[in-house]
Amino acid sequence: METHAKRLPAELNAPAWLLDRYQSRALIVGGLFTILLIIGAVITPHGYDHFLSAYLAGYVLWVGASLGCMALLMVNHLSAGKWGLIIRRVLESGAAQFPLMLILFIPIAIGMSHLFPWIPGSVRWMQQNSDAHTIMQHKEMLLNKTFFLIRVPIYFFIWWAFSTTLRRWSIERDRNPHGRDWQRILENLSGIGIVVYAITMTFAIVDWIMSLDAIWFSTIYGLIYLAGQGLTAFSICIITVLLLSQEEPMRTMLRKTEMHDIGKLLFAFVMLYAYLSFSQWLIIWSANMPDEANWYLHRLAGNWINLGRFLILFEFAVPFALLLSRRLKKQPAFMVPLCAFIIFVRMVDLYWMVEPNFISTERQITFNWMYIAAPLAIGGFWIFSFIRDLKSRPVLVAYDPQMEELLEPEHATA
Amino acid sequence: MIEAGIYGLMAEYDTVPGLVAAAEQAHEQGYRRMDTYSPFPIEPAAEAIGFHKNRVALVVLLGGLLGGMGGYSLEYWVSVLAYPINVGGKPWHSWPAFIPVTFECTVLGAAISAFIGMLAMNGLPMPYHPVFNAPNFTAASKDKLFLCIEAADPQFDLTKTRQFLERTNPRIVTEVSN
Repeated sequence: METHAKRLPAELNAPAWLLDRYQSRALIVGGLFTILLIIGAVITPHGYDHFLSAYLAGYVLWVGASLGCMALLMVNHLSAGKWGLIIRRVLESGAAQFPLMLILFIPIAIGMSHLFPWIPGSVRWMQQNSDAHTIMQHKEMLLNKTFFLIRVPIYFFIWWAFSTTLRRWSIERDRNPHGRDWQRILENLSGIGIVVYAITMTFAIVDWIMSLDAIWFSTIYGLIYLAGQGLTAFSICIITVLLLSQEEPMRTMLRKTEMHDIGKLLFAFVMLYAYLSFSQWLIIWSANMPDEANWYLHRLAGNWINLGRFLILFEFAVPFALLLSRRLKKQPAFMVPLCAFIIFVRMVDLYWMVEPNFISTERQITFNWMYIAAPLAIGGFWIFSFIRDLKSRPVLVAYDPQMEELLEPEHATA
Repeated sequence: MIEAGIYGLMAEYDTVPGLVAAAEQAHEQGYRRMDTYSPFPIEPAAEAIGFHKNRVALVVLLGGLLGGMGGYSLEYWVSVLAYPINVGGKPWHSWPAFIPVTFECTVLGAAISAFIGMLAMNGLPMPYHPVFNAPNFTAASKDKLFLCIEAADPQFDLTKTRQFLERTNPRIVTEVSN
């Protein structure tokens, strides 16, 4: 009936020169801050301890970016939707960073006795009272050094296996669209994968972050990170796609309609994150049990409360109010800075999650430049490797039943 | 110029491009009071007749705010003023406990105002509408597409508008009585 005004561009790889700029900058940032961190960890007073907690928060931010990308990729295979078609290859590149993140776990493995209180004889073990020691002994089956270290490669192997299979099939599908029943096998793998992701990710977060306080527990904790990873991953995707859309092939394929859809999903994750975080607070506040409330007491004491207020304002209220606007969601000049800001707030949030665990006596906010430097160093390497992967593959899928629809004219937006 | 007893002129088309082209021309000619009718949504047609924005979003925002404030006020009135009960030694004005109700009332207010606002702005329910007087208009629910230029349009002129519509290659142009 109607002829398409647009055609699928012949070249589906993004121009290398466009990505090269950002890639080299990312490597410089990563390298520079790594050197600074090493110097800081060695020569400043208590530098090693500050370095480790900063590194842990930054590490969880970026491993969360990869996990979020993998989860959204699976969601897109299960739910379909043209929004996912536009960002699918970006998600696949984000989900390809697990081998890098496994290597970057090494500093945490080396410094773990400075971080976790459940390691008998460690400095933080000594700070706990005898009641805490009893509780930690009951948890020893899960929280002991050997099993903790064995679990790390298991998590990464599972995540890598799912993401690498989805990535390989995605490329094979473009080469041989009718070779297999791609839709069905991608859906089946994603269906299993999304469940496995939620469980393994929760375990990993319990290991790496929740066990920093060996007594406290919260059953919603994994879900809070799930929502946070969605926020980080969407922010990265939006920034990447908008940068790519300066040139072909993304310039032809990115429509306002899909930009609007992805903006709406980001908005949904802003709300989900606030909803889950508030649920945890409401339950613990209502029960008011000493074991649980302590976690919040650390975060309400001294200046920490102001950081909490900052998070309520800038991780929820402000992005929520801004993203209500239909016009702003379609505005690249607005979305890129907003998404960059959301990644920054995620970094602050993780600092807020990690750092109050370490100051049992003073309960005062402690700031060290390494808390900024560590996420930047890890992020530099993550982005470098992410862009390298992005350059090596087409940034758009060539074959998908819905790809035709992306070439149709824009809808009137009533 | 308003002709007595005439609602407008209705042109009938077979194809979507035909309808969209006619609607675009009519908009170019300066006609504004017009509408298209089709068995399925045609977004380009809505764009062609200059339909860009509506105020449902604003109504929903206001409805949501009103609902949220209403929910919180209700909780405050019940728990602090009307019937204060000591629950677990917590203060009467325990805002965290009020949030779920506030949130739900926001959603309720927004949803109800979206539903009612949409109906009200479409002028629904509407038991009578003149377009159904046009012959063959029931085909708008099956396989025909219609463009109706209303007599209320300042540029409307029975002869000239008919001539204009006939130049857009319709199947037929008919008068719609009020």
